[in-house]
Amino acid sequence: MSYRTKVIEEIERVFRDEGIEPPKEFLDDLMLLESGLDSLAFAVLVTQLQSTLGFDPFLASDEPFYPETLGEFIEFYDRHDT
Amino acid sequence: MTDTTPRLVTPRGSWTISELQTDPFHLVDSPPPSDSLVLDSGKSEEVVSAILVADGPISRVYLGAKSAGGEPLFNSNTLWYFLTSGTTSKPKQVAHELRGISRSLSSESVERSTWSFLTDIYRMAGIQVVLECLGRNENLVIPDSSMSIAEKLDFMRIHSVDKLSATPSQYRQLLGLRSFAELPLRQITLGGEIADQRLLTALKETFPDSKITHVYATTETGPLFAVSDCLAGFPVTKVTGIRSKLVISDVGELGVKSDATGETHWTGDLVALNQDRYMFTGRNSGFINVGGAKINPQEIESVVMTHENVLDCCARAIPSSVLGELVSLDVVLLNDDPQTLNQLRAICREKLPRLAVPRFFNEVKEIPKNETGKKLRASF
Repeated sequence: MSYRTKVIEEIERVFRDEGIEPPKEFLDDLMLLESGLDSLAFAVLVTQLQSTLGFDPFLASDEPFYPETLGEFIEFYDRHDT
Repeated sequence: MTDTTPRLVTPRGSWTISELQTDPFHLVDSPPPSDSLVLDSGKSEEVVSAILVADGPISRVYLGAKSAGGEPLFNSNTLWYFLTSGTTSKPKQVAHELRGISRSLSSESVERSTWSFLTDIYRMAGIQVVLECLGRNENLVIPDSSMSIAEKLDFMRIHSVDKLSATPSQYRQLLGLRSFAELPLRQITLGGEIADQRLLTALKETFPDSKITHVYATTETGPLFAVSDCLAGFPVTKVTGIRSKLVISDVGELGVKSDATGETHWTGDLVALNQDRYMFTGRNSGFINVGGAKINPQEIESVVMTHENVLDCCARAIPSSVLGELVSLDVVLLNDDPQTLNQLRAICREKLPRLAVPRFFNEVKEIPKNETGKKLRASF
């Protein structure tokens, strides 16, 4: 099972809450840092997802991996499902 | 008034001071402790009128008097012990002589007043009221600590309390009770926390004829100054005055020079000059670090407290794997208006720098505080 739906739901919410114009579509090759999310919004997203999903892959992972695209980001979550 | 003797009134009984002098240790609150820390008062010429006993750091308190037949138990050199308010650590004891803590409080009054206080009796603010009453022969009404705020208010109304000392948080609660306005208050004393303008204005509107005094005191130094102009902060002259012992550090921390040693005691309170007034801006610690930016939680709280449905709140750090920490806000609401949290988000966005805007809001029943009433901001 992929967290795709949940992740995109939360991303949409963070865009809305932060008052940032969202991209037209959330495709896998969307570059996260070019999507309008800045570091603060991104941090909020990760904490929000931790609360919804119950884990934070950035904490669970030892590798300093920073997903660039939305597809990588979702895959990062799927991979660290605990 | 026919009764010319000041009285001590508690839910467990009422006594004149002379009764207290011959029948010691009337119970004010809870049964006698086995091993007591004695907080005592000695007015030089009068027979000692009160003994406060607290066992251990905070639990039980008594008020009573020892017989005048024997030796005076106390004198002006007697030390009074107070507990410091450690934000993170257990409170420690600090000793004061009477003269160090009895300079403060209220205006001269022609007719006898009836004081009460909602702060703990064994803290600086409570002990000041006791001393004031003893020194001026005024009545003292002490509600039991087990009473709810509404029950305390009823008790004070029954006994016509006209001078009251409490913390800003307690006054906010009282203002939410309709019968508060029926107290015939002539003197309103605030202490223990920073009083914001919204609260001072609300008190003035409710009690237009009363004197409203904000006392600034620390456990380590005793009362330092009082402000009665109904404005938040304090005038710059409190620092620039010739006899002022106050100093402001480079980072804006308020300090006090000791007469005895000449050393400066730093209070941990930060102030900023706004025209001719110093305003309290927070504590020199307890900042929330969002991606390297240091956020003052009290700035956030002062914005949140401007919403009329907020009774109390606490901004604290929650860990973030991305930015280190993010700001979370716990809030206690007066009623369950479903719009409030959204309104708070909007207010914070409007009034605060973007990094300081709380991203996570939790409605809670109460704000956890340590033994001396400081908010516990530890992240979890």
